[in-house]
Amino acid sequence: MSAQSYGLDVVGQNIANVNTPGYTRREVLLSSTASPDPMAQGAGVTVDGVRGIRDRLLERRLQMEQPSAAREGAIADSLSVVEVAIGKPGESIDAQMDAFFSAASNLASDPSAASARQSFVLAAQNLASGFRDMSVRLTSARQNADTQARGAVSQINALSAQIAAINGQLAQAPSNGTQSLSLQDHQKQLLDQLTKLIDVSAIERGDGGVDVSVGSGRPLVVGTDATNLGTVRQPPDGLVGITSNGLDITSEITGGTLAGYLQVRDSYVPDYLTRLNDLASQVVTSVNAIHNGGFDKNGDAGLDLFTVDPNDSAAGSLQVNGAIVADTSLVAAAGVNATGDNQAARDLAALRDARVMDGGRATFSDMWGQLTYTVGNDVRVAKNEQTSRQAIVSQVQSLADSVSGVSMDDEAMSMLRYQRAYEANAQFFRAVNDTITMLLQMVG
Amino acid sequence: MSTSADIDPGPHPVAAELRTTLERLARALTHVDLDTLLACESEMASTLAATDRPIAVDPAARAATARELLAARAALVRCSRLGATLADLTRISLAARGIGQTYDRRGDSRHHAGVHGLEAKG
Repeated sequence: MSAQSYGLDVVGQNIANVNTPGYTRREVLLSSTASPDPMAQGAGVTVDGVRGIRDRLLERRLQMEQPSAAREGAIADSLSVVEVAIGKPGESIDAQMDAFFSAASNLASDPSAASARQSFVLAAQNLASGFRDMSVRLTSARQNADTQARGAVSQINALSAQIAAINGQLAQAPSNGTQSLSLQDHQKQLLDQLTKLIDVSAIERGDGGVDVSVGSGRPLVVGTDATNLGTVRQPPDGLVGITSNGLDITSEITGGTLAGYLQVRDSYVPDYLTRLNDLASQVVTSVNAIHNGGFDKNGDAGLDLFTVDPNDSAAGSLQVNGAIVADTSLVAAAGVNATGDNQAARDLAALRDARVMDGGRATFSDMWGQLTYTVGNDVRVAKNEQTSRQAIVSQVQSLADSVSGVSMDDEAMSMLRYQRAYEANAQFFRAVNDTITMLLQMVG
Repeated sequence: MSTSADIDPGPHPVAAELRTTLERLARALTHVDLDTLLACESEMASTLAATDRPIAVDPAARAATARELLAARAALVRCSRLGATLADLTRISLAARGIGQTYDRRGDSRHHAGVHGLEAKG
């Protein structure tokens, strides 16, 4: 009776945990025991233990798919922020470049007018400021990714410590017991969380625990020992490298949100910054070439309109020459040293449509368009990848759940089936009892 | 060398079948073995059908038959207790999940108002 009660307890436990994430359906292991008394009424029943219904192959498959989905999710999330920072077409640096070339065109219309010169300088300042702001936004997106990567490492270390602790508890817990199964369920959940952060290899231990490694076999958890991943700031930007036992393993991390953040930080955003700096650099070169070749209102040769710090990025350090800001008469609108000439201003305005980028194939505006398109496309690709990989994860999860999860209908139906089957027998009990009584009277 | 007097006729077959069936039923209830539970129903019905005919018990088999009948009655009591526990645990577990065991005429599940207590016996 206690064995039966235990069996029903397990069914009840399955029902109670139908909505518990990570809960693995239990099954009671029973065995008959031989009775020492040959006259005893049948053999007894012993509960050998309880086992969790799990499909290791599906769980392993899930652990393989989850890091990819999580990585693409992290990339999509981070790049969505970058996409917003880049701004909509016509409302960002492209608008500021357009305003600058329009100001040059206005200057060409009236090169002597102080207001036109002032407007031109203001437009140039706005453009420089736009480049600097964009550079700051992209740099901070990179630093955000770095911060998130460091956060992911902290979470990985915390999870590793918990998995190691459970390994220790599993080593102490009796096998085939509910305690062991609960620990394994908890550990499986921790492992699921871990695989969302980083791609790991998990090897099951004999006592139900797991050993976990990352990258090319770097130990993360071995028995009760957890090896913390480290973060070491690296020059020149102070962004962190991921280390294991002092070795840099950043390049070995290819899955999980950590890999996503690292890719955003080390690949995607640097590419955008390079494109932005190329654009800024070419704007500076092209504009200064014309301005230097022109003459200011005083008849002197033009100065550099834009300046950049040679020790900094072009976009990040772009400024309008302080002397010109202070004295707009230094704007070189004339192509020749003659009052009223506007050739330099016209040449500056003509840069709007000049194909000076990408080996003479693209205008400044085209290059900006390519950058915004690239960011948008990267976001779309990452989101599509995340969706398709998440679909695989969901499918594998469903398969794993169909094995390990509790179906409320199944549990309820099995309990009712047992009861109905018993009731079908119980309808004979009175007749059986009467027959036994009658026969006992005959033989008594 | 044995003689006919030495031959133990054994318990009456009906008594033996009752004991066997009831003990199988008790085991099935313990193991929560649905197939055996269902099989026991027809076995019990056919054993009872055999009692419709006149039963004669060999005097030499009376003691063995009596032992068998006492064992059968013990098994019957065990089945009743196991069945009652099963019914109560089923009712409690399903009620706790808001699932009724009965259905109304439209086929909708009727929920029990609450758990009235465990009818645990023995």
